[in-house]
Amino acid sequence: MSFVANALGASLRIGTPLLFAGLGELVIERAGMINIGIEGVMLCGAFSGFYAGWVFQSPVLGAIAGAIAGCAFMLIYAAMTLKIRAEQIVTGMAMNLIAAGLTSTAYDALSAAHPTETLSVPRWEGLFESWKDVPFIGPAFCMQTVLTWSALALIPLIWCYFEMTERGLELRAVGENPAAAQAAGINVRLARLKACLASGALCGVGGAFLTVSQTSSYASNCTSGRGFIALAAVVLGRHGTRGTAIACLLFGATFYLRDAIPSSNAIVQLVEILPYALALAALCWKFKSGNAPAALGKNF
Amino acid sequence: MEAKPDARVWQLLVWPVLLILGTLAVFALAILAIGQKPVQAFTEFLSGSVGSRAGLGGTVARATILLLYALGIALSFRAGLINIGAEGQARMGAAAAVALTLGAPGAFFAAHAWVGITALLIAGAMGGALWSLLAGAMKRWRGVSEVVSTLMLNFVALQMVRYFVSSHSWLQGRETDLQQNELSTALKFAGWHGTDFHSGVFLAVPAALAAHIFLFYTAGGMRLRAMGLNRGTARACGVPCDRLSLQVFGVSGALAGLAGALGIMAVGKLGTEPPYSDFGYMAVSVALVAELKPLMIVAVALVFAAMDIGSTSMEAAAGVPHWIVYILNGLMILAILARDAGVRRRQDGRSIG
Repeated sequence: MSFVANALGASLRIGTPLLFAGLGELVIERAGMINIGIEGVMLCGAFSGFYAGWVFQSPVLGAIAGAIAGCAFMLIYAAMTLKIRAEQIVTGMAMNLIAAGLTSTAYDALSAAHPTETLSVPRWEGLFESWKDVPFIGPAFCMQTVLTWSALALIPLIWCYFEMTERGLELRAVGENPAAAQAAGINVRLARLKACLASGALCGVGGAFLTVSQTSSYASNCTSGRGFIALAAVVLGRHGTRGTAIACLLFGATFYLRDAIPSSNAIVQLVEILPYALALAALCWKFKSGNAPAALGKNF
Repeated sequence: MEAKPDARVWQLLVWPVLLILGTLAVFALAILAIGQKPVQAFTEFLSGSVGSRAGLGGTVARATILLLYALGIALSFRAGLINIGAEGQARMGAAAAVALTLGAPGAFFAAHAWVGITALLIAGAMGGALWSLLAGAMKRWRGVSEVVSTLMLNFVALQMVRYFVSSHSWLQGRETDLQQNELSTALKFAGWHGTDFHSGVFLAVPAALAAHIFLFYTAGGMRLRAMGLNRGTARACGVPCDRLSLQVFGVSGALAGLAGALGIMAVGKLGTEPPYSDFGYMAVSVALVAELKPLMIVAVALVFAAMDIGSTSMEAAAGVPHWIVYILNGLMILAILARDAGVRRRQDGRSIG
């Protein structure tokens, strides 16, 4: 029983950054933009979160800094695609390169300036940590930080936003047919800009989770492809909130399994293929009745 | 639309100069920002990339790989296909080439070097082409956007090869540790005079020439470009768009696979990581900076290769992280994108809004 509880707890923890990034990508894709630069946005969030968390010795401030940095970095994407109307895919690729360069340069400079210290963020306590000795519930849920809980809370919130509010409907209209949305009186660019900022904040927090909550330290390119996995999760979840969330948690469990297998076993490499292979299969399987917004990837 | 004379001056002279000056300025600012000396870093950068025989050889060797990737990317982009899967296609090409060196065929190829080298290169091209055609087929028959599929296939290819390399009994139950297994010397490209320079460049430069002639002086190239400019119009004019798309996927994958095989034959073994990792993405900047023109790609690939190798020696000698080059690459792409979007807007006569 304790094995199941541990597995559940670890899967949730590993799934949290994927959930943030997946929901972030979902928001922007529903608005009709595809951003393959979320890996870069997460990396910016991870470094800024780590830096603020280390300077202020506070993981909470780190997470906030991650959100702000993600927003700020997404402004590049917003300016390129909304104002200049540049190709979205290539812009995303450029953002990945810039983020990898910026964060690694900054971290190299930082650790060169503090050669003797180990740079780390204080541990973030679980929200219900006082109950950690309760059997099953304790190891599975009580060690999770407030970030994991807010990621889980975001799932119904975002679902309600898209399905039940007028604003959410407007945002979906912008993604399906921007010209018609404009004619109906929606400010398409403003709606897309807001989606960009929300997505940036979510991906930034997702990146910051890695450094302020999961490892409490930073390493170059520590997001290691999670942004692309979030992209795969949105595809596998067929651009739906529930589907994306389930895919993210599923991938979290997959990566828990990978970490549980001894790394000398080559099968580990095959487990890492799973997210991408599943996403590709989902794309091929009756794609034409699939759910992608009609104007995905088209500038307006 | 015929470009006005001043527009041509802008495009040929002012723009490249602005790009180079801007790059240098950002480079200097970034180095100042982390508290190092730009001039010293730049000197180290130059001596590591073009200022010495070893640096020059390494630059050309890397440019060969970048050139082949970028040629495939340019062909795809010209055809309106955003194929960003060079990284994975090259990896599959490399794996296919190395697979030929195992077992009895491997012994045969090692004994007959010319046959062996040709076979390995062909296998590399085939491997890359098949991997690329997978994305092409998904687009053709299932309507899957090639952007997502090529991107995902990159990770699948990288992981699959990592699996092959780290599992001990792959292919005919042979107990081979591919991680340690070097290619036989007959199949390796020996560097010239102790540098990384190898004969692969004699394959890549003619390929660029061929791509240039194909794109701009043949009916097929005309059809390809027409398809990229407007698929609907091209189809109405009788261009077989579906078949042509598949052909473009195949050729661009073959070029990337060829580069993958060349890289492995130059380095000597199939490690867990590609020998020139991230070049598949860097090649997109090369192709875009060269305005998707094959002959310009030759020059731009040399510059980018010099930046790549120069940044490594700069890191070792002047303490400036080589990551700065990533920032420069990304900013270059953004600058090119912004310019192209501006040109498009002027041609459309639409306001910026």
